[in-house]
Amino acid sequence: MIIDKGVEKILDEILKISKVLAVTISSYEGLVIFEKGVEAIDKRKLSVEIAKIAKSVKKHLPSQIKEGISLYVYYEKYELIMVFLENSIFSSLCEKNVNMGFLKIKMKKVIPQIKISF
Amino acid sequence: MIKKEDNLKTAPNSLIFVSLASMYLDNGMVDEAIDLCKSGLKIEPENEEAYLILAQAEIEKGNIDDAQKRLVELLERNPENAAAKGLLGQIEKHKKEEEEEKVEEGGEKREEENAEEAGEKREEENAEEAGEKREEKKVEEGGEKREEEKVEEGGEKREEEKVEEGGEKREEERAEEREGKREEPVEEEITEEDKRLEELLTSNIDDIIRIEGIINCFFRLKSGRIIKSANFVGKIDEVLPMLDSLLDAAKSSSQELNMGKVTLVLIEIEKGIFYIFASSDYDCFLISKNAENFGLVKAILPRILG
Repeated sequence: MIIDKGVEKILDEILKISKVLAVTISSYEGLVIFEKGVEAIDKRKLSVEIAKIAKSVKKHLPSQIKEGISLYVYYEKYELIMVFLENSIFSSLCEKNVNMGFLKIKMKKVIPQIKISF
Repeated sequence: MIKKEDNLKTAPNSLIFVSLASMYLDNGMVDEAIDLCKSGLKIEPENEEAYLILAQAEIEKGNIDDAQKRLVELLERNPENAAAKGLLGQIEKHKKEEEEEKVEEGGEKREEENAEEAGEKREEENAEEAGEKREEKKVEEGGEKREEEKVEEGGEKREEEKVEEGGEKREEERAEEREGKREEPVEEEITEEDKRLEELLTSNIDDIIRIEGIINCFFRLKSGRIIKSANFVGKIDEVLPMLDSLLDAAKSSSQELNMGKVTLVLIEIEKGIFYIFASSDYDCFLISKNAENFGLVKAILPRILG
């Protein structure tokens, strides 16, 4: 997987945040571009579901809105945060009660670099 | 305003920011409505309803010239936009009235000055004015009588028309009944459980709306019944499809990935935030100005809802 080393470093930092299980960068078609995290998690399946959720929102929005949308889904067992970028979706899967505020800040910090990389 | 149906035909994807701006405006958040419309128009410059909401917001703010400018811009794009024409007409009329008032005020002042300079002439003028006024009164009285007569005549005619129309309608109804065509109005059946929930949730809505930043709140029961406050502003059916679609996709993913039930969804779009709290009996939808209240909402809402 080709990814800028600076981006990878920040993604590693995100993974160090307590209760963060996985980070993925995936396409709107559900394909994995980059993934890292707990091996037990099926990231390909996760990317497919993330793409489905993104599609459910995007079909109701003007096509010109390509980014700037953040989505947080709280499940009984996990928490999922997604940031919509122009050509990809940046997401983190976490255990329950993750420090969402901190995670959000860290994720937003890496977005400009992800945009350059892809 | 543009009819919703028309808007859906012309701009099916633009409802979210327009609806949100409309809600801001209805809630007196004029600056927010202006900001949202301006940024929305950068993305979608052909959105006619955004122009109209922006013009209305500018009027609310007292920026009549800006409102006029927006409406002119809109009419340059679509000279047939009736709502823009109507609003522009109102603005122009208002402006004319203001100008006339100014002219009248100016005239009165000049008259006073003239009267001071020529005191003798004033008496004569007063006498003349009094005479004119008496004449006007007579004319007005005569006019009023004629108006009354016309109203009476018109009223009688309308009454006759109503009786005729009523008779025709009753005839039609009888005919339909004879033919068995007439459909009885279907009364929506409300279960006891829905009634209980409706009472409970309606009493909670006011508490929820008091949370800082919350613009709107409504519930949807499992039966599909929508619960909202009596003074709810905005159009639920413009935002519900997106929220519904999102909730369905999130629920589907929870099953596929074995993540447990969906309890809360937050989506941040442009300058609006939508919260969805899902429970076994109902879904609670909140529309918020920003996400700064997220922690507060997350902590307080379960307590309010019990």
